[in-house]
Amino acid sequence: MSKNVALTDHSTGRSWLAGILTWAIPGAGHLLIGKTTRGLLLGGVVFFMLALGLLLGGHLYGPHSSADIGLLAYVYGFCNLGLGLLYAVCLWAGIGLTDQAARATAEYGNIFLIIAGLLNYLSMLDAFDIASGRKA
Amino acid sequence: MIVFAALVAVVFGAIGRETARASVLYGLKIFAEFVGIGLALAWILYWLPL
Repeated sequence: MSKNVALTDHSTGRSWLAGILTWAIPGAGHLLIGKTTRGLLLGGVVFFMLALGLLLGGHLYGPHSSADIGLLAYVYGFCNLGLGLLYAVCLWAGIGLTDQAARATAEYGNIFLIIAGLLNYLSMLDAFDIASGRKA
Repeated sequence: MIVFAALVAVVFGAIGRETARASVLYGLKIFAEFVGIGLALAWILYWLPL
């Protein structure tokens, strides 16, 4: 009964909440709207890509790295920002902020981190669409 | 590249199709395309004097 209510409640506020929640915590918005499997899958992939990216020596971009690569830091930073609260926690804790260019896998790590953020943006839109009734 | 292709294919498969079967098939297609195009580009770039 509660699952049916969750799937048919297409209020605007709920849609935005699902989208923002997915952005903040990957997969959480899907859990909110009753798409448990999809939420765990999408969230798991984003978390795994973040962990793998950091282990490979990748680093997160943002205003702090503009001295190194200029305006491109904001482009990559926007991609990383898709990680939501994970990005904020990493900035706050100082995780993944150091460029480890000497490591052979550092660029692979950067790509994993960038794509993790972009995939979470897609997940966010997916959660919004489902919650608003545009998708099943 | 294989791991990257697999992870992206999982997400694309999950959000790109509605039913489980269609999602799996779409994910496999995306995975094959990523790997195939990646290998093809690598092969082409090998011969270019860059």
